[in-house]
Amino acid sequence: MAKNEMLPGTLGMLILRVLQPGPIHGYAIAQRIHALSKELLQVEEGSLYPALQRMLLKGWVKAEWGISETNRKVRFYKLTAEGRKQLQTEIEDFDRVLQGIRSVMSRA
Amino acid sequence: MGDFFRRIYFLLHRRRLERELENDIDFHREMLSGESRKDFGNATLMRERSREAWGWGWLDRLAQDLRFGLRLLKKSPGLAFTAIMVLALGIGVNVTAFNLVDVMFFKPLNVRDPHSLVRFSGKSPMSYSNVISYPASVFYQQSAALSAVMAQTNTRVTFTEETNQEIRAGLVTANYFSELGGSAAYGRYFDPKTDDTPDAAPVAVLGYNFWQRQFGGDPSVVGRTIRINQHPATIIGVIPFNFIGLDPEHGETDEVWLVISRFAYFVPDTKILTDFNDGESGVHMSARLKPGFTRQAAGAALEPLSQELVRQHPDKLPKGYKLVLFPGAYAEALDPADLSFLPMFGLFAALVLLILVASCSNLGNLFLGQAVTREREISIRMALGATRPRIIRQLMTESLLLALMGAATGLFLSWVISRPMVAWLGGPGRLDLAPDWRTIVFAFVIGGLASVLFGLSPARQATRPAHKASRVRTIFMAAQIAASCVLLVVSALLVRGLERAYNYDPGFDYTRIITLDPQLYAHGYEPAKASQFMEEVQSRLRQLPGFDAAALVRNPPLGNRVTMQRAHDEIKVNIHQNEISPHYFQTMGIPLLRGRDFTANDQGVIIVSESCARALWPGKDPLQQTWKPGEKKYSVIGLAGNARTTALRNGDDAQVYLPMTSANVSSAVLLVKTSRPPEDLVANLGALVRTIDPVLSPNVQPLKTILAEKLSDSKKITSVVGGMGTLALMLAVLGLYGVVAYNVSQKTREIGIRIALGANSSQVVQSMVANFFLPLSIAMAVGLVLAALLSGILRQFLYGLSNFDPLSYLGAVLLLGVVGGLASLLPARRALKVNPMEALRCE
Repeated sequence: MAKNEMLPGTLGMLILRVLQPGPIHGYAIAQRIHALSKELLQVEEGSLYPALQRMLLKGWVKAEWGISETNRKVRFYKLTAEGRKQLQTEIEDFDRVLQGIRSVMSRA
Repeated sequence: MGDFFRRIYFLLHRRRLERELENDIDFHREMLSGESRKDFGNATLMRERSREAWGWGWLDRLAQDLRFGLRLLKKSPGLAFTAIMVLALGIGVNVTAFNLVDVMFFKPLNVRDPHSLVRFSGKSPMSYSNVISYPASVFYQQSAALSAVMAQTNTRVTFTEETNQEIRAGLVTANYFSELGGSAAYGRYFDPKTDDTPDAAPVAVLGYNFWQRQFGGDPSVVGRTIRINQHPATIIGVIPFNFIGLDPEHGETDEVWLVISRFAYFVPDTKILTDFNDGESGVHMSARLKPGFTRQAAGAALEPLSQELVRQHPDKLPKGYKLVLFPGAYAEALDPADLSFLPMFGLFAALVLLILVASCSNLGNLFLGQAVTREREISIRMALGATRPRIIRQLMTESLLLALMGAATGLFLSWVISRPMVAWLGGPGRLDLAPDWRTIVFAFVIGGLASVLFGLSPARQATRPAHKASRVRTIFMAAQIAASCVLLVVSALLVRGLERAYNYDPGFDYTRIITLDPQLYAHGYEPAKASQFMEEVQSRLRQLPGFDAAALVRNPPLGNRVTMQRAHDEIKVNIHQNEISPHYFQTMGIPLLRGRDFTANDQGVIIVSESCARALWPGKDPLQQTWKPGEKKYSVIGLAGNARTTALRNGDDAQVYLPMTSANVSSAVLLVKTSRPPEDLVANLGALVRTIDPVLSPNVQPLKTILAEKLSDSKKITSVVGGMGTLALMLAVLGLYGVVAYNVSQKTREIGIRIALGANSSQVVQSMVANFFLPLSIAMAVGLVLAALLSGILRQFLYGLSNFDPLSYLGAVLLLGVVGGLASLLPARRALKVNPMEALRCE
């Protein structure tokens, strides 16, 4: 796995997680994931926006108009109640899988 | 908000959401450019992928494909027109057939609350009748399961205004019109409260056609008094033009309508109102189910009443008699117990589907040709990254577009042609033939199927790098040949059968016989009075110039009334029984081979036909036998020649002739043989009967006319199938011409080389058609086998012709061979015009 690629299926969870503190715009989502991962993870725009559209459709996030730090009108994405629930289950699922992988790796 | 609704929301606000997404992405790019990163990627593709997440990509693509398809059609209107017309023909034939079935069996008649209506038949282990005696229908009114019991029958009455005129009268219960809803065109309908009582003033409602013909469509006839059977009655109303009631045929043809319970006023001795025997007179009985009753439940609830009825009238009604219920408000009752019509239906369905197959195959070839000319366009698209499924989808969308247009055109054509066709077939003219939702759905489903049939393989071919279109082409061609082969064989069989029917000797001399049915029973003649009447008629007949012979018969030849009996348990032969008076054989021209004719007072004796003797007593002398069908014993006194008096279609009838019993004379028919052309005497005979009793309205017809009428059905079916055969042949010819012409145009180089190397013209032509010879021969063989399998169902229309009649098959093969040969040789000859030098130079 190249250093700036992600484990498949985890992008949604990461997006939901960085939205948890409060609404931010698309570019900030990519930035924050990049920064929080200590620059290990790079979110491609080509996957970020389709993923956000899917989440909008699922009702996990909502988009609201806001003003960016560069003073430009842009949409801010906000976690919904449903989104919080989804994040919780995804974290639990991820933990379980990670645990499973760890035990296999340590025993075999 | 569920997922589904959110999806719809996204669809509805697509424009805005797209703009917002674009804005997001633009912003993102702006921010990135600050980072001095240039590889943002393909923004359009990203937008497209993001939109894809909304789940409406297919709709976008469909719209794209449709737009593109329409643009292509506009670019080549000739091709589009041809394709749509070929499809419209194939689909139209199917839609017309489906619509007729739909109108007959599934589309409710235009009456109030059609779904609660039921109609009845009477059934016992020994008998089945679609009429119920009128008093029985009155008896059933007490049932808790039924409301509004209705009866309808028809008869002939004499209408007098200056001159006598025989008209058709519909007899209905007083509630008939009010139950079915709607209102009279002028005046009013019968009122069950006031018009049904024994002392009510006699009233009549006029049929629309009769009102137009007799009264010039004058609305002021309402209130006038007319004379029916010499009895005055007041016109209270006129039926609207499109009224058909529960009987599409009589709803249109009945000229005057009377309240059935008051019929005795017009015919004082009538037995219709009192006789529980449904054999001589009966009514079509309908009713509404009371709320909460299904047909099954109502049927069960009616059974005790039927038992009571049989107990009261054991001599009139058979043991185990009960009512059978059908849905009431359809043109034809679909009886789930009697599916004998199914094979015939199946055959017609198969034939019309063959037309569809032929037209789809024809189009398939057309589109294969198209695919080749679009090769460039398609390879460019694929080079630009379109996937194969995507291109197939686009080509299929184009086919579907054409198919739907074809279906709509077919639907329209079918709607236009339906009424004249039904009129020509002799069907009820006022039935609402407009296609309903079932037919419309059917048309578009067939259209969708057709698009797969003709579009899929050309689309698959077009996207395949290495073309192997010629095999598909041959399959399409073979399908057309096979389909037209089947249709041609079936048409040929029908034509030959009809020809046989016209030239066939039925065993009696129908050309000089007139049937005269005075309808004595309907006019209340007692047997004694009837015998006297018949004597009187015959004695007057003898003075008529051209009179040859006359006799009475119970079931007239070529009539609809048949009496049958199973001979013995061990001999499975249906014996036709008939009662005749002396001189019957002389009148009919049936040879009396041995023994003697009946005399006036014969009893307990019978005359049998040759085939009957052979069936009952093979190898024995029939004149020494006795026949015991039940309690009674009959000794055979004569042997008559075979005659097909009942059904032209069957083989020889096994016929037993009994002497006319005096009780049956009132329902007997008089046969008159003349030495003159029978048509000349028809009017004379009618007048003669009226001079004896002016009330009577006799039905006089030459047997020749009845025979022609009987054959006209077959004639029409033959023309319909023949038309379909011609259509299929035309399609096949067009297809064959196109395929060979294409083959020639593709092989110009090869032809050039052949000619340059010294091939003579017949070799060149041969090389162009040789590839088709084997597959098309196989197709023809398949068609012949299919025709042989299907035509077994047709037997009843073949008048004794075997459905393997070699001449029909040979004829079809020859026709197809010659026409197909011409259609392929003409374009093949074009190969001869190829200039070898030019052919080799090009490319």
